Amino acid sequence: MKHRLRALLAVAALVFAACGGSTATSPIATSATAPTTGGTASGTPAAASGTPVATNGGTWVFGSATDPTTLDAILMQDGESIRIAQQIYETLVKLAPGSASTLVPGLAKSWDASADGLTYTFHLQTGVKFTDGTDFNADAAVYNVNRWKNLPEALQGDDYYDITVFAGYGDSSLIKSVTKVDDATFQMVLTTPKADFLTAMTLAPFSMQSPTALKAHNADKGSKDTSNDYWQKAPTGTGPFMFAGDFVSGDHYTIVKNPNYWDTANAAHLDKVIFKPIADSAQRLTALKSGTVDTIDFVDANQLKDVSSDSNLQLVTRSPLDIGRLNMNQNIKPFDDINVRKAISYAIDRKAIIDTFFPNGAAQAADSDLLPSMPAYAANATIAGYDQQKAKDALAASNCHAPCKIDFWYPDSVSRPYMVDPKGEFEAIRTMLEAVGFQITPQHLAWKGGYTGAEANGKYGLAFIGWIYDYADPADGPGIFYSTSLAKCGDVTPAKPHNCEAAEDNPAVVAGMAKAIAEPDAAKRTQDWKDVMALINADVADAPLVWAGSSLGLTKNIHGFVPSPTQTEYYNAVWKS
Amino acid sequence: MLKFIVRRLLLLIPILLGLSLLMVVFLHMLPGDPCGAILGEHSTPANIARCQHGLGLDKPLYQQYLDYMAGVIHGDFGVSATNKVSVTTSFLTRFPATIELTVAAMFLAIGIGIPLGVAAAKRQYSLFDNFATVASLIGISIPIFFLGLLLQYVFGVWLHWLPTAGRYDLGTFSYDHAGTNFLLWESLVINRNPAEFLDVVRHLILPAVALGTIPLAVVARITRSAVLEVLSEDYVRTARAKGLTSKRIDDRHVLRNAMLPISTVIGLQTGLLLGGAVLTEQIFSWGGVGNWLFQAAVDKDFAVIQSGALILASIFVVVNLIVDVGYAYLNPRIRYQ
Amino acid sequence: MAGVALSQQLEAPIKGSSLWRDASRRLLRNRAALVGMFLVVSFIFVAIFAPLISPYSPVQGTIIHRFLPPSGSHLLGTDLQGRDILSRLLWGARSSLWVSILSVTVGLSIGLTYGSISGFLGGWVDFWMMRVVDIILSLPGLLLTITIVLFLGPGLNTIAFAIAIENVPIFARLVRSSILALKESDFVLAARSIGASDPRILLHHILPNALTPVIVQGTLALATAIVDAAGLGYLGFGPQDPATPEWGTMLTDTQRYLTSGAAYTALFPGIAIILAVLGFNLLGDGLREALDPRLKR
Repeated sequence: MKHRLRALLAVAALVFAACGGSTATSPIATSATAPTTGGTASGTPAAASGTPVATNGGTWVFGSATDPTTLDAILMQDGESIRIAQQIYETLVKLAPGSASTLVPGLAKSWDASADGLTYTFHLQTGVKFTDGTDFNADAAVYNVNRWKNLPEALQGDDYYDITVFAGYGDSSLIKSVTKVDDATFQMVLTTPKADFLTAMTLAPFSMQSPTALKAHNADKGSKDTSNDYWQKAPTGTGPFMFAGDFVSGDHYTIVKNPNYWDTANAAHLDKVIFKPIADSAQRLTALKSGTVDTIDFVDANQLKDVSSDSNLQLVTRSPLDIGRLNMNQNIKPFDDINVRKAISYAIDRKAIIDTFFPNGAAQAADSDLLPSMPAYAANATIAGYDQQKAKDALAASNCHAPCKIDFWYPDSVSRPYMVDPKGEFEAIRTMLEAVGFQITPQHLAWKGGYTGAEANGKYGLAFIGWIYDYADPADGPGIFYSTSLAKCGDVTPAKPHNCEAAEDNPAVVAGMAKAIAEPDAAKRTQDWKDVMALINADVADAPLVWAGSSLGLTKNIHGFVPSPTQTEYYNAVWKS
Repeated sequence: MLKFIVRRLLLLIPILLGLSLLMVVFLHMLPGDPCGAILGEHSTPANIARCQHGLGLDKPLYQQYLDYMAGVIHGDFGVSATNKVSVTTSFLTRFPATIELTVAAMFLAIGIGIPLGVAAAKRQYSLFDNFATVASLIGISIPIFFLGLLLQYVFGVWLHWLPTAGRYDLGTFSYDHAGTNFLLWESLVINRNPAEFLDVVRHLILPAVALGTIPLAVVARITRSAVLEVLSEDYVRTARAKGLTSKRIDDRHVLRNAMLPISTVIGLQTGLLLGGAVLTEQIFSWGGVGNWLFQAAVDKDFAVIQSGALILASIFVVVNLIVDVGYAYLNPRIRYQ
Repeated sequence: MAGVALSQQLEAPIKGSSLWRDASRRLLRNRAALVGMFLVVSFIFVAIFAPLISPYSPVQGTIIHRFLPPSGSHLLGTDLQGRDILSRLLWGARSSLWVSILSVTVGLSIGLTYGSISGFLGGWVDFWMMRVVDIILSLPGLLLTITIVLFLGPGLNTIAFAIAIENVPIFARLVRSSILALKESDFVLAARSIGASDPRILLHHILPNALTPVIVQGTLALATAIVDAAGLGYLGFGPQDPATPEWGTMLTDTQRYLTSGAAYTALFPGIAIILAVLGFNLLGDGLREALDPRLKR
């Protein structure tokens, strides 16, 4: 009995000795596993010499929110999958680091568009290989584009970006044809001009994947077919990093440096990037502060100060490219009455919301669904001023007199950049609405438990919702949530195209939006969108609330991270000292 | 004995059939479906319809159930709707994490709870006994998540002593991803690296304490009362009268006789731990089964919830059977019905 | 004559007041149980008289006055929405008490009925009824609760019902096993031998004796219900109206604001939960010892 006890004590002593060791601010890990493989500076921290010189090697542990859900690029929909895909795959055209609109060469070193805006010729980089050793050339590119055009039916249920950009499959796809010109050149022909085509081509879902790997791992079989193990076993691209098999669901996803990366000048500095999913933002911060991870994304606005005031940490902020808003469905009483919609918009004190939920400059009060960085944006286009008297007057002029009883919906179990604390914001806005004569019945449902679907199906009169732009264009935003279709809305199949979410069926809006999306000329297009947004705003179709950025917290020994409003961030430039 | 075991195993069939039927009907009556989780802001009527069709959710319920059961009979437990990973694969990678956490928690509960209970019983009504009684009562009364958060702030953020998330130092060590995923085993036996083993232990401490506190308190309490009961039995008095030293009495008679109620409670608590593991795994970002099933319930990931429940229920029944057989072996007075 | 005397003697420990008188005397001598009783009585007192003793309305406030530190006007400060924390704590006792009582009442009545039928009838009815219990018990408790709450929608009643379902098998098993034991016990055999009918035996002899462990378990289940409700609050399943004060939700809602001046706001509801749960646990323990004196040593 006694010797057992002694052994136990010895183990305990060892454990706590180890605990003591890690009190030091820099984890032991760095010094142990950061051999300087490159010819650059030696082990001395770059910061000491004044001019930071990138050190090669090291492992970067990144606290993300969730596991990736697929890495078959064309089927990706969520940010966490795209975050990883941007490191292992490359697109033909890329966004310049940190920019939301500047195009730079990717796997295509240049491209020409025909005058009618229908034919695009891509001139490819040469000498590029996929990480499975096969060549990236015009054949591979044509294979990928054909896969987008003729996506197998079994995969169509998982598709979002492909159908959103190209509008259909096979003959109804916007891609009319794709042909190889020579080994390093291919052509894409569209059925109608699409002004944002090249910008859309920068989206990670339109990455080039190895045809050999796709075929070998049955990527075209439906997702229910277990022989399709492409994304779990062999996602294969040309990027500066690659997957080497280390994925433990719920625990981590690891990518390693691609030793044969074609663009040697931009090869990765890091040996490894490990993504550790931590769902809760407060837990992520705890993990960063306790040294469990080196970097976290989506720092809660209320915790920005915890990062900026910590001498071991740095804060990196993305400028906003999203909109948090209240959707009002004109098919549900009393929101059919424009005066009710006006009363709601006037009643909200956006400044108080921002001071409370988005402090430290995390967001700005929004007065449009568009952002000020977009050419089509017009200031003060809609009601954004807080005026309790005007709200009361509008309600008095409506046919829903105080106390005007309404249901107000908010989502549970979710935090988005534009809606960090839905319940807290709901309660704050509820108080504001009740102050002008509304009587609120709170309604809520889990974000993933049917909220987004029911909201999109027009089941909610007044609801918290928002949008994250993939690129800075009104077509990717109002162009989607005010779009009309013949798809079943709720349980009803509409007789004519209908906007399901907000019932914004104003014929002038429908016609104007169709015109704007088809307009190839940039200046005319901007004017078209200005006209459409003026009509939408005159209808008070929604109540825009905030434009919110998002922030990352990094330990001070991480360098070279360039934030992007579209979260198009390349980790090959990142290094660790 | 064999007949008893076979009969109990055969019982699994109606239980699992009933459970699967119950789950399918129940789950499909829930509002929402996985498409809401998949599409998020991108939900539009057209996208939702395409997604539902892709997942086969537009088929009649009985058809979905038959398709599902046909798969199960062939050993195919389906594919997660959200990440397309087969349920079997996910379960096999995540279950070891949960087992390790549960075992560590029970190790704490038994390793500390029993000595504590024995010591308290021997010094009944002493200051130590009163202290142990109050401490174990407070232990039972603290909600797991409150304790977990408290531990994280104190030992992770303030003192920087222990890590707050995950199972090992991702930046320093790496494991064979095709291995067993039992990291204690992998680090000590396969990799033979004490530093690695220590690292795994350090990651285990906080979650195990959070999860193990309630069973620890329960075990300590039941041990105290079981030992007190035995101490007052005639045979202990006889042993004393015979002149045996009190240490010999402890070893020979008291603990062994007290073990039956204690082991019953340990068995019960181990079963309950899985429920507690949902919260603990959530707080400590522990890639285990509880975390996985909770996320699946929130995402309405039907295949994962259904199959997860079936697998867990089967394990539960089999473990119970083993426990029962073990009891019968230890205590021949128990008869098989 | 002999039969009457026997029957009186048999019923004495059951219906007679001496068992309860003895038990209450033992309970009052138990210091820990007295502390528990004090905590429970204060908890119930606060829950009932919250409207009279709260300094402010628990639901009115504005974010302009958020996170005011404790002061003379707000003894425990204010929360994110500028509401008085003390008032919300006092009103929060109502939610916890309601959830715990409702869940135990529902769970107990279903479990009691189910267990008695199963245990008393025996045979294959008992066998299959217990297999259904096995199914429910084989699922991790919290997951079952979450699924039920997801199914029925948020709200305190839903939460109470979900916790009740989790409790049913526990009560059912407990009642069944005491009944099985009592069915074979001497006084029941004696009652049967003097010609008492089955329902009479069940209602007058078996159930009252089977109730002792149920009362103890019920008190402890009140404690578990408070913890479970708080855990559900942590996972995001709170009252239908978010303004309704509920301790678990109060604790976790402020998690993200801890460093924006709200550190203490999470502590108070945490302490309230621990005290209430501790109270029921102490009382339950005391009751167990008082009702089953063999345990008292």
